[in-house]
Amino acid sequence: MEIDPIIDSGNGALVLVKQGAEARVFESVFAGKRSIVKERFSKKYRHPSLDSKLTIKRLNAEARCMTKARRLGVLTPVLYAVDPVLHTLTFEFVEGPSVKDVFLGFGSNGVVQERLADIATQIGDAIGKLHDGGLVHGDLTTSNMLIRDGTNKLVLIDFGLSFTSTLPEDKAVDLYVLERALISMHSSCGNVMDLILAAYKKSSKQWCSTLNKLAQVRQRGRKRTMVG
Amino acid sequence: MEKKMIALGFEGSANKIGVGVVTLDGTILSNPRHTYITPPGQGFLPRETAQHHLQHVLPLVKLALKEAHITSDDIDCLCYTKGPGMGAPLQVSAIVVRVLSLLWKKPIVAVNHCVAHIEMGRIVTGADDPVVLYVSGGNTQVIAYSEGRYRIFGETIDIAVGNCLDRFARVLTLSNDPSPGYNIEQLAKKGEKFIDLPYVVKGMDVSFSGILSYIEATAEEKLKNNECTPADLCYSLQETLFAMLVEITERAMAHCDSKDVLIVGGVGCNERLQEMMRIMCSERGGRLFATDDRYCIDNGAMIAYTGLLAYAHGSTTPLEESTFTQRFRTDEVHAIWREEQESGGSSGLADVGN
Amino acid sequence: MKVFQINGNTLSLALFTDVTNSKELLDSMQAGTLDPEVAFLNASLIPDVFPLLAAAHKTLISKSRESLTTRTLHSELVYNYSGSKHITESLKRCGISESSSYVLAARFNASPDEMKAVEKLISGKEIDLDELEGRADQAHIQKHYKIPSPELGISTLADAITCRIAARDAL
Repeated sequence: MEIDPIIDSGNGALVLVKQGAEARVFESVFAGKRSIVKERFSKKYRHPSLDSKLTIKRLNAEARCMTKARRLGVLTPVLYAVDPVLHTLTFEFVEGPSVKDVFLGFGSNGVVQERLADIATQIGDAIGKLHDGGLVHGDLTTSNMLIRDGTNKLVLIDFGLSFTSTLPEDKAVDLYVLERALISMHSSCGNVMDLILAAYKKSSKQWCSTLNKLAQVRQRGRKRTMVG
Repeated sequence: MEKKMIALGFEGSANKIGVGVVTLDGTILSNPRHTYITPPGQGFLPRETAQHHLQHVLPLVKLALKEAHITSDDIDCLCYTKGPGMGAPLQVSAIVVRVLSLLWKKPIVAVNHCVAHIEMGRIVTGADDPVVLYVSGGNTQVIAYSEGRYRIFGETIDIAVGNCLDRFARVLTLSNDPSPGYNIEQLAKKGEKFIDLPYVVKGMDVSFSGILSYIEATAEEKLKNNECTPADLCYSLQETLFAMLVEITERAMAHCDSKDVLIVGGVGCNERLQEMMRIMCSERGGRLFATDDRYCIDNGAMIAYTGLLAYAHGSTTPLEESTFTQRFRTDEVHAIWREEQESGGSSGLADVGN
Repeated sequence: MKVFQINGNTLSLALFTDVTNSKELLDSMQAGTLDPEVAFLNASLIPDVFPLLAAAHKTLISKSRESLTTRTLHSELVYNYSGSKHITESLKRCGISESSSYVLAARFNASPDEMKAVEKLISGKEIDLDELEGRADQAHIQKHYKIPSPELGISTLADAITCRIAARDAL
């Protein structure tokens, strides 16, 4: 019997990558692969029972929805493990910049229109697939989208606020959240949202009811009288 | 001594009419106001509110001048709330300012109500470039300054948090004196049991209408069956609504890489909201800036101060454009005074007036 | 065979083809007389070692919390690999049957002697773990793990299985 050298596939040390609003993100090694560990922590400002309810709900929603997205043909990191006791998710380490960083580099860092258009198309296509599959991301911002090095493929992350719904209202708000994020963060990128919506129309069979609803949701935002 | 720039400001976009006198360094010389209080179980209606404002505005002007020890000659500009707000009450300030402008031959400066809350908050607390949570009866917004404007990062997608609280106060027929929100806050202190309510955060936006309909539909039943007390409901509602607000504020902070928070608007006086926000800020190594009810609640001084900032940077509103509007988004305003500050040109606005 | 390290434990794997004594193995497993205790997996459902390591990771965590769902550590590994919540069904599909000829043997924290004993238990030909991918039954995997075609457009079989193993309890 030949014994190969032991392959170290255990959990390597955790290296803090990012302290987010409700989770700490670590880099680690899972069964020999470079991985991300996302630990949801309790928020001291919240009532304890509300806090634990939200933490578990979002942990499970994220695990469920990021794997459901893959079933719909939308790239998300491969999920490696869920720990309901430590409130951690372990998933694939995706190498590449966030769409936020790519867009912020538009114009200045030689990010050209073609690249912008390609990413926008991928975004619209991915959201269309999610929505037709009854999945609403719930937190579509450019920080929650990565572009994988090498393949330049869009990878969606952060499914903690995701849920399943077939209502046009929920899908419209999903797009509205993204639109507002683009306006507040990437006003210099021009009509990215138009490109995204064009791709969305091609990708989603139910685009018509969703985009009608989106027009209504936008109106609500502008028409709110905002007294006092 | 050189004379300091002085502005007279009018606020009347909701149920309060206020007149304030300030100088450019943010010193408030006077700031009287009067609130239209409705009976328990009732909200304020535009016509009656406007009537109230009309009755009180001129005595308030006289009082403001007297308390500030100035006469109309000392005033550099007249500032008023152009919007957003309720039409009829807004009209009162707009008309008074037009008349006084012609009478006293003073320029007019139209002011965005939301921006005024922010600028007042900044000068009073010394917060330099915070993420702003603006919470009131008509507004719920998470705002941060970027490239010449106050940009809205998150907001309610239906009703405002203050509106949600006010309408819940009507369910319990709490008094509207001094404000429904204040009475909910006091009652909530006696609450012990946490009742599960819907919690709706979508990205950096929140939704309150579902919570309101849920609590409206179930409150009576729960109280009748002795499942909980009115205090428990107030407590649970506050805990839930405020957790949502703190959450989206924190998300905006993470998004903008900002550490400090400023809370403005009427609901911003709530001490539990401030406490929760303070905990969140300190966990992030940042600071909370909040003001008390003198500044949180709508007042004339905030309008005067913000108008004066614009005036000091060369902006006035011609008489024919001194209109009012119910819809006036925070990000429509070009915050010229902050641009110079950002570019490091003039260090403080106080110099301009000297 | 190969030894993998997981959370301070080891998992030893040995892959066999042309196995002739599956019935015997199954009988002694069910009688609880297997010595040493070992997991026998239906290797045609395993296109890569990685998903099995993910299942092993999950198994060890349950063990450390004394919250195993099945009777033994090794049956738990088979159950976890299935990505399903049905215990009996999982053990049947992902374990071995009387007629299995392609088998992966797995044992936690095995000494070299114990692995030698495991290899002796099995009448078959030991082959390299690299053969897993080529010998996997793609159609069977797709059916068992309910992997739809849009997913296969973006994912390997191994990744699809891993996701199901990880997400099972969150469903």
